Amino acid sequence: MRLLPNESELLGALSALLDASVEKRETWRRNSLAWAESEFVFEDGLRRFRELFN
Amino acid sequence: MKTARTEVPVREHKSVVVLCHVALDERNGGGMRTLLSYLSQLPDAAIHSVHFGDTANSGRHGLPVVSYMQLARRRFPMSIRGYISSLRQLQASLPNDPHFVLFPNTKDDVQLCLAATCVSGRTCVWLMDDFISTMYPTAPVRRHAFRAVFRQMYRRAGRRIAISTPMAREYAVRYGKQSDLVLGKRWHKGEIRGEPVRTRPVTMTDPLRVVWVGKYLPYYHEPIATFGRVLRANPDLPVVLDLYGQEPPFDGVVVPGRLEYRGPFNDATILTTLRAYDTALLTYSFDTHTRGFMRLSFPGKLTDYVSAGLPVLTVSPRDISVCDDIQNRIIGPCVFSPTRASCSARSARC
Repeated sequence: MRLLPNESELLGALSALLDASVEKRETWRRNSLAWAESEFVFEDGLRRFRELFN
Repeated sequence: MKTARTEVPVREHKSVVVLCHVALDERNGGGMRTLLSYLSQLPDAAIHSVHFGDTANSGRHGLPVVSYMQLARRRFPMSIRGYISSLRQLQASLPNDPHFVLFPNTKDDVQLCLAATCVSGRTCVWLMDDFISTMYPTAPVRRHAFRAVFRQMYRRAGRRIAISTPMAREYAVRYGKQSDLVLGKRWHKGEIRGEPVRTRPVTMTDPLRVVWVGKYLPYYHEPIATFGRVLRANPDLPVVLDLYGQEPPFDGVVVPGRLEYRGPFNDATILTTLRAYDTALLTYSFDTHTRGFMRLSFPGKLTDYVSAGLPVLTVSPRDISVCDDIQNRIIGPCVFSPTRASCSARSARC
């Protein structure tokens, strides 16, 4: 026996994506970008990376 | 010692030596592409790649100059002395005292990186996953030996970079040394943006477009295969999934017209590619090895997805640490529940 993702739950998640309102999708979009802008900005990482080599 | 080196430029301000079983090359995975992006911002540095020749070196690195040194693999424990000798020779050949970037991912890497900490105090270990926890699962003596070697290497390194905050926390407890930096894949500030959300209705002729990018490995396979089964079982579901990566998916995964392999992607333009989609897919398989190996990782593809402003559908065991962030950030639906399946009934890949 082995573990696989639950197919019915995946189908439910796809349905949630299909049924999501524009507002809901806009929230997901904004949250994604907010995460990227707060933690994944190259310039911020580079400054700290360079400090390790000085 | 086998060497295959190119000329080192005469005028250089600093030297950086990268130690990894694979050569410094953008085709050797997302972690190495991340490392290359940072090295490219050290324009005065001469970069040297010391490796074991595990994959072909195509010379694709995007840096002004890289010299390569291929080492012959040596057997533990005499390997350490041999690698120290090789690294000292390299060190002596350089015009200045180099920084060593330790990029371990295999048992040979761990030995080579430990050797580097005996050669120089200017060492920085950069960890992309918790590979050491899954090494030698059925050989306890070797497992303990290499964990001890890894522990020494990690503690002796002058600087430590972890790929995720959970890894930094756990390694601080496990090895008694704090990480200096949590650092993974990132994008320039001006590149982080998304397309407006889709307002037109989803139909079978204009379906919801889902995208997955990455190197197709068993770590990621099972949820994608499950996605394919759901599409097959629901012919009226207006969803398509496109896969991009250097490796095609395993046999039987593609569902013509609905789950397709679109070939390799260009890392420099991946955000543009992603912005053409409605949703991104993040997957981890539910097997024990993946759950151990990937538990503390932070996938570069997730950085890409959110930097393109996409909602993310996550299909993963809940104990992968990045799921904490995904749930807290509310970036899309998640599937964490497993189901039990007979190996032979589902697939030959178990």
